Amino acid sequence: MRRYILRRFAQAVLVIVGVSLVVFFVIRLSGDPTFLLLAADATEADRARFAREQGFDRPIYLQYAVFVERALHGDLGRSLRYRQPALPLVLERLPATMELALAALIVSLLVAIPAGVISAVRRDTAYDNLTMLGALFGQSMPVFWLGIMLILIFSVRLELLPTSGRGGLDHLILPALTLGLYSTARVTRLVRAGMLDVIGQDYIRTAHAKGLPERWVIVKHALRNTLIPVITIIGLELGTLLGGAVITETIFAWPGIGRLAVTAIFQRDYPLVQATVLVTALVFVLSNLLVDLLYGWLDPRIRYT
Amino acid sequence: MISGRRLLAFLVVAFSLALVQGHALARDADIIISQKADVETFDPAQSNNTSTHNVTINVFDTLVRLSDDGRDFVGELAESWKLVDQTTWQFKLRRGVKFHNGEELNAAAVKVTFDTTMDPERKTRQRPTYVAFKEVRVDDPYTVSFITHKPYAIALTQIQYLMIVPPSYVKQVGWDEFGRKPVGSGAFKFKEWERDVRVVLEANDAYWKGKPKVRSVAYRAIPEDASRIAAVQRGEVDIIDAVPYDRIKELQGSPTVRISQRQGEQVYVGLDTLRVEPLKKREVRQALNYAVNSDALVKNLLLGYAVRLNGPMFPTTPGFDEKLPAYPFDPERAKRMLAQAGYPNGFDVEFSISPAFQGIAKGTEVGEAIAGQLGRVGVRAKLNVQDSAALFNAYSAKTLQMYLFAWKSSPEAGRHIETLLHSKTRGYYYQNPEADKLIDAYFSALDLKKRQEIGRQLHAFLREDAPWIYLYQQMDLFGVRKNVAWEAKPDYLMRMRDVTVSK
Repeated sequence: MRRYILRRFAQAVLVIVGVSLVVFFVIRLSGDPTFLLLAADATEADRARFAREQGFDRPIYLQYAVFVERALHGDLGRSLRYRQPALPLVLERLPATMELALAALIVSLLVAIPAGVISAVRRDTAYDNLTMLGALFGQSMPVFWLGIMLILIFSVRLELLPTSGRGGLDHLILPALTLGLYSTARVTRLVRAGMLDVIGQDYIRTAHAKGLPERWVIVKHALRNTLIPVITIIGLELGTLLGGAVITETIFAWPGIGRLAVTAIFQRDYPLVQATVLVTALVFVLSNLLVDLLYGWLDPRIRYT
Repeated sequence: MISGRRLLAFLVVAFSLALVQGHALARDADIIISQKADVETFDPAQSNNTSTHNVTINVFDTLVRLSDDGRDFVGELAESWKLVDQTTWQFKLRRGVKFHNGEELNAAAVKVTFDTTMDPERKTRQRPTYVAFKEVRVDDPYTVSFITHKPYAIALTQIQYLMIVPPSYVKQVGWDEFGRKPVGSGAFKFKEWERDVRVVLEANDAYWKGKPKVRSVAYRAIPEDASRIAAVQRGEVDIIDAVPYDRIKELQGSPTVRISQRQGEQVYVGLDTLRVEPLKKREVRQALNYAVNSDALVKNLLLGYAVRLNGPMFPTTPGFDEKLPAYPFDPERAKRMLAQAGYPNGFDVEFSISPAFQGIAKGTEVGEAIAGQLGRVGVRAKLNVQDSAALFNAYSAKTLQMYLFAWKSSPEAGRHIETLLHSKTRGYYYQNPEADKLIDAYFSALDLKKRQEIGRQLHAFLREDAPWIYLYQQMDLFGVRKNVAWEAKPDYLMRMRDVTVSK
C-alpha cells in the first residue's frame, strides 16, 4: 500500500511539474504583454523599463527558475493587470467554478443514468434510437452556440431565467445545463454500453431464472455493476467540466477560474495565467489522486497491479 | 457493496472541494451598467483601461473635463485656470470640497496625486500619460500649478484624466487596500466590489455640485457580447457598452433599447514607408489612397456608423480642415499613378490584420475588402491574420509592411498625430523632418488661433504625404434602455451624476 501511495504521489508531482513547464513557456511564446498593459502611447523607454521591472529581459530559463523557486514558497507572483498577488485572485474564484462544475455533473448524472439504463433495456426501440440520436447531438453541439440559444429562449423570449451572472439557484440552471450537456451525452452512451455488456452476463440470467422481478434485476444486479466504470469516468469528467467551464463561464459572465483565465490570456498576464492553470491542474490531480487512493484502499486488486 | 463505497468515496472528494455559496443578484441599484470588462483596480493611477475609468470617474473628481461638444474644457474642481508663462498652467481650486471620509481636497492633495502617479517606485500605468509635465507646485492651499518641460498646447487633455485621491487616507490604508476600497470626492461613494460579479456605488448627497439624481449605480461585467445584449434587452441592466456592429440592426428595431454613440477609433492602414521599396514613394502611397473605396466601407460594412476622414485629424481637432477633400475612390487614377511610379504591374505586399485589434469593428471584413480593392489596381496584398498581441509585437519590431490599425485619441487634441507620426516618438514606419517640424510647432502653439493655423498646414501636409491609407473614424456604440436619459460623451467617460431613470 505504501509503495502504491508513493508511486501515485510521484506521478502527481510529475504532472504538476509538466504543466508548469508547458504553461510557462507557451504563454511566453504567444506574445509580449508590454503593449497590452502600458498605455498605447507609451514610449520605447517606458516599455524597456517595464520589461526590466518585470524581469522579462532576462533569459527565459532564468525566469523559469525564479518562478519555480517562488512557487515553492507559495508565491505565484503578482497579476500584471490587477496589481494584486495572483494566487488569491485564483482561489477566490475556485468556489464559483466548483459550484458550476458540480451542478453540471449532478445534472448530467441525473439525466444520463436513467436514460442510458432505459436505452439498454429497450435496445433498438424507438426510444433507444431517439436517445442515441440525442446523445450524438449533445456531443457534437458547440457549447458556445448552445449557451447563447438557451439565453435567447429562456431569458429573452420566455423571461424565465436570468441571462447571466452568479446569484441564487436560478442563475445556476442555464450554465449548468450548457456545461453538463456534453457529459450527459457521454455518460449516457457509457451507461448504455455497460448495461448491454452486463445484461448478457450469466449472473443476470441466474437472477432472472430465480424469478426476480425485472425492475429488481436491472437496478440491483445490472446497474450496480455497470456503475463501476462509470464512477471512474466521473473522476475524469470533473476535469473536463473544469476545463469546459472556460467557455461557459465567459458566456454566462460566471465569476470563475475559466473566465479569469480567458481574460488573463488575452491580456498576456503571465503570472495570472500560470496561477490559474496550476491551480486547475492541482485540483484535477489532487481529486484524481484521492479517488485513486480510496480505490486502492477499497479494492485490493487495484493496489497490486 | 464495492460500487456503493466507491461512489461515496468520490462524492466525499467532490464535495469537500466544493464550497457552494449563494447570494441574490437582483436589481440592486437604480441604474445598472454592464461593460465588457470589470474594474481592474480603484487606484486611478494603476489602470489605463476605459472600463475601469468609466467606474472610477464617478468616485473621483478631476480638475477639468471635456465639454459635451468635444472641443473645449470646462472646470470641475478647478474654478478657473490660466497660463502664467509658457510652461506654467495655474489652477484655482474650488473651496470646501471634501472627500467622502471628510478629508479636505486642496492643492496639496492634487500635488500628492500627481507625485504618487509619477513615483518610479510605484511603477504606475498612468505615468506615461504625464511625461510632458515636470512638476506640480502648490502655490497656496487653493492654487496649484502644473509645469511642463516645454510649451505644451494639450496639457489640459492630459490633466482631465488626473483623478484626485485623498493623501491622508491613502497613507493610512496603503495603495493595495485603496485599490480595493477607494475614497474619493466624486458624485458617488464606493459601497462594494465583488470581483467579476459587481461593483456598487451609492449617491454622495454632500456632493459639491448637488445630489446625484439616482441613489445608486451598479456595474456588472459581462464579457460575451451576445449575453450582454440579452441582458439589456431583458432589462436586467440599463446600459451596455461595446455593442458590436453586426448587432446594430437588431437594437435599432428594439421597442425597449436604443443606441447611443460617440466618436471612437480612427481606423487606418499603416504603410512601411521606410523599408518597403514601392511604399517609399509618395505617389504610390497616394495611389493606394485612391484605390480604396472608404465610402463603401463606411456604408456597407459599418452601416453608416462611421465618419470618413480626409487625413489624420478628427473633425473636432483644432486645425481640421473640412474643406480639404478626402481622397476620392478612383481606381483608374490609382493605376495610372502606379504605372508612372514604375509599377505598371503592381507589386506584392503583406497586409497584417487582427480581427478585434484595439476595438476595431469588423476588422476581418474591412481588411478583406481593402485587400480586394487593392487587388483591382494590381497591388497584391496578402492577408496575414494575427491576434492583437502578436500584431503589436510585430508592429514594434518594425516587421510589418502594411497593417490595419485603430487608434483612440483625445478628439480635441489629436495627440495620436504626435504619438504615431513624429519620428522621435514612433518613427517605426514613417519619418519625415518636415512633418516633425510641423508637429512640434503644432503641439507647442499655446494660442488656439495659431494652433489652428499650424494644424491646417500639418493636416494638409500629412494628407498629401500619405503615410497611411486614410479611412474613417468609427463610433463607439452603447445600448441604452429607452427609459434611461444618458448619452455617450466625447471624453470616453461614463459620468452618472445627471442620469435619470423614468418608469
